[in-house]
Amino acid sequence: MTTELVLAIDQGTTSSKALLVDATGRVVASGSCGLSISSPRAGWVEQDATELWTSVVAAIRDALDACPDADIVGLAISNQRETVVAWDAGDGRPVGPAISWQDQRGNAVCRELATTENRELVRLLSGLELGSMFSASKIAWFLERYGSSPGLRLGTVDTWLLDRLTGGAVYATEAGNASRTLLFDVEGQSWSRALGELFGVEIGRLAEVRPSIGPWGETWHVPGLPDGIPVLAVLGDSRAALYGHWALAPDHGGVGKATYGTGSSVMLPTDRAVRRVSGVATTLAWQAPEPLWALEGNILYSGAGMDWLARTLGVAPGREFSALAATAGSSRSAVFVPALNGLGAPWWEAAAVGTLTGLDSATTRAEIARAGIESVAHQVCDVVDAMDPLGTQPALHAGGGATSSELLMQTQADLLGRTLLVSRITDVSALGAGALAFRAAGIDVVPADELVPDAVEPSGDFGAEDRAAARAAWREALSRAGVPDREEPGGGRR
Amino acid sequence: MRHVIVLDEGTTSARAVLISERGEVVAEATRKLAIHTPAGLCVEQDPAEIVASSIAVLREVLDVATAEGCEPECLAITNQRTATAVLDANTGTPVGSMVSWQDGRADEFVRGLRPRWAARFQEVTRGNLSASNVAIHAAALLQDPELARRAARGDIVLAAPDSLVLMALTGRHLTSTSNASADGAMDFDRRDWWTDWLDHLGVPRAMFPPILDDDGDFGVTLGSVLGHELPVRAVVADQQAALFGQGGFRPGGVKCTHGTGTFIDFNIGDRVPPVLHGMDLRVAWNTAFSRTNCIEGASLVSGSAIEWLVDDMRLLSGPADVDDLCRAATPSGLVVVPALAGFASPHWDSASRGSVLGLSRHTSREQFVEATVTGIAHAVVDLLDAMWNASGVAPAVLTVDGGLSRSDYLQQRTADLAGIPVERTADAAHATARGAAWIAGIAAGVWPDAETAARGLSVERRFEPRMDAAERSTRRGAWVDAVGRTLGWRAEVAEVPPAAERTLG
Repeated sequence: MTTELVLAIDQGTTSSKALLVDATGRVVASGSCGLSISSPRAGWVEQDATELWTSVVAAIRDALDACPDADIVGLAISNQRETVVAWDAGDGRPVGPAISWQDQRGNAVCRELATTENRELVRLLSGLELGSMFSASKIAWFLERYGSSPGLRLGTVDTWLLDRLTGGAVYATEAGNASRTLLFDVEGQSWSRALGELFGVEIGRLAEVRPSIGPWGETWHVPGLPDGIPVLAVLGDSRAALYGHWALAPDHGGVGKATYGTGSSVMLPTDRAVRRVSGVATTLAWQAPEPLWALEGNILYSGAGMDWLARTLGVAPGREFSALAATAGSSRSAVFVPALNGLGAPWWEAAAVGTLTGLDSATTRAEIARAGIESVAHQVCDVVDAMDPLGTQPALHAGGGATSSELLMQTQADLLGRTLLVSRITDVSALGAGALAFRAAGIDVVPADELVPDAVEPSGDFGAEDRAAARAAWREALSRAGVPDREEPGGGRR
Repeated sequence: MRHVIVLDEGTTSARAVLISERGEVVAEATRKLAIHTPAGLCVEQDPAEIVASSIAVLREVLDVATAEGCEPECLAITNQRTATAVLDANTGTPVGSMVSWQDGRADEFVRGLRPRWAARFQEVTRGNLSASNVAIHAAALLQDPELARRAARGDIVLAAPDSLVLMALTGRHLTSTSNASADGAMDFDRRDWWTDWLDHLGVPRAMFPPILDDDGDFGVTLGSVLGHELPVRAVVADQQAALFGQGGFRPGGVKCTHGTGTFIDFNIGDRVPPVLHGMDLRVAWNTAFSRTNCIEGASLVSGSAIEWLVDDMRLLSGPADVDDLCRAATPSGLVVVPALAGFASPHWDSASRGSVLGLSRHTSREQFVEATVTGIAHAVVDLLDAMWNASGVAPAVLTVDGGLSRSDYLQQRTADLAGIPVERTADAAHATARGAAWIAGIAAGVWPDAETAARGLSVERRFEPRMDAAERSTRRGAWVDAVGRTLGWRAEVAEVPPAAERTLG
């Protein structure tokens, strides 16, 4: 009997991956292909739309080469969000670059639009803050230049990949991806005419919004893949990660997650569409097919902050940095605030500056490294505290590269005062999309034992008073870094 | 040719220097001294080691002097200040460790004293209340019941470093005005110990030595100790000796010593300014030829900040690389407030610690080092500004010595940010010894006056201010903002009364 597999595509910023996964969550084969990124001028960040697609094809080919007889029940897509691609419906050729989520060319447009009323309208309808990271200003940029062409199609990366996978037969976007465009009514779960008018985007030209769970269409003339394989699930990467955490730890479905990457993303599911939480976004995580809303906060510098410290201290980032930090019993009075380019969620304080404070003659590089580890955990705590001030969620899933630091995970559990469920796998986003695809195919996902996350509990000797003292010292350092003292975070928004 | 021998008993080394009537260094010997940090904020030295090293270096130089036929006619002593040793009153033998001027064990105790005592302390001693205080050190030491009993019986006495080495060399328990004015227990106007203060702290007045003029009668060295019987013609505290030795013996003279910390001393003649703006007033020297006061300001961390960058942060391989790294740094908005041991003058905030503000993803090691050096310069300018405010006289030229004075980058930055020239004298390394030698030599008749003694003094390099006023004002503004963000840390710690305060009431 052959095992039924899902081919899960994870199209990210730095690489495209393809994983053949089974219904226990195990990865049977995988392929990956790196991606280039360019910055043609200050604030502009672009990728090559053709390369986004050909890298996916290359990754699929690698995975299938390793497992040529795979019984593929369907495809799943997890993708980088907010990035916008435009192409011609006739020949499928890209028009212009892929404008990355990191691109800030829309700053001027957003600033112009950012009246108090408009910001309130955007917040109310989309759940997001008016800003150039989200897709709307990027879409407007394309329409201004290429809008007169009748065959122009444009959308987020999921839309682009669906078009290519189905030979142009499907022009659709996934609801969760749409909820990161600034053009989507997060509560009504449809494109918003009012927001379209605000940004000068004709809503009728946008792709059809569909639930995250398919079927979405079938493969057609994809190099290396047979025709007729259905695309069963599409999720934006951080939501795919949340779905993956839940699928691999069924007992802990329903609690939030933190992803420890360059920055950190914290997501907590919420029962209502728009819960006004200062400094964090409200988004539609997915429609599967029932909607799940979530609060999402993005921290700008976590892994990148540690890596910066590692470089400055002259140690290798990652394992060596964490090992250095672990040689210090504590950070004592040293605090690192990694506001290396302002502070993100929940503070959104562009004027905040990076600081190292509490330094004395006995401060060691190990203590500073430890302060670097703690800065990541404190920032996640800030977001979780803002989202769940009453502490209703007893646990938090943890994923991403930096979870390999035991010190970081223990520090996080200690400072949160909650159980941390640390993922044992690196590609949780791909597995999440894969799990949703299995569900679409009517196959139950039963995670393999070795994939169940490790539960890290707060240390017994780190009590509530220690937590309060550590958090107070962090808040003090934040205030010295230029975050105004206030009851609730998010007063100074982006 | 006549000669003076100097014992320079510093924090990190004991040094003996033989100086000729022409001002040349004929011979010298140095021994490093250990600094112990047994626990927490405690910083101690071994008084027996200090005595032994002092005697050893003096003997070494005297041997050379004998061999070369240039026997000195008198000894001058200059020394680190405000450190506290306990001596057996009968034998002069040190008892236990010496509490260093860098010691912070009484920080919290001092915070507790401040509400009731800070203003009065300033009025009487003309200095600022801090844990660097011989009477407070003594109070802490007398927490030991055995020592307290011996003190009550008169069996032990107190000795700052000058008294420690004097006792060993001459068998006499004495101190000088320049030293006593830095001990934090002297009634400045009366030039005598302040008994109310000592009573409050529970330290017997009898433990303190008589205070003599800096060129007073300190006796003669014991032949059994040095093999020579030399009159001790001057005992001058190190900062004040350096002021003299850098040519700052006239009103308006100002010297800046970059050691572990930075000490700036500004000669104001015999004036006593009514308001000191966070600065300390010291007796510069009380001698037969001159009664001079100086305004003193201290920044606790400068050389030690560079050591910290080298040893703890490993951002550079040694102090010699400082200038290269600073020059390689691209401009940035980074500000380092190197208050690694809290703030002394003019802010007096021992609870705060150093900070680095304005880190961005582009911040480099070079910028980190450059901003640290610039922070040291800013701290110097803060002190100069306060001295100007206190005295009503603007320092015109800053003369630098000490380890970090070798950094051209630091001197240029200081000149730029202060808006006045900075001069590095030739042979700045011997400024302290030279000053003490001159005071002793004038007393002994080797030189008729200070001008004659100093005629060989020359400037090795002068740094002119090159920064325009607008940039200076922007940079100073950023610094003041950064200091504001750094002050007042961990204020809650100050609320906890330490055990000592509860006992002492």
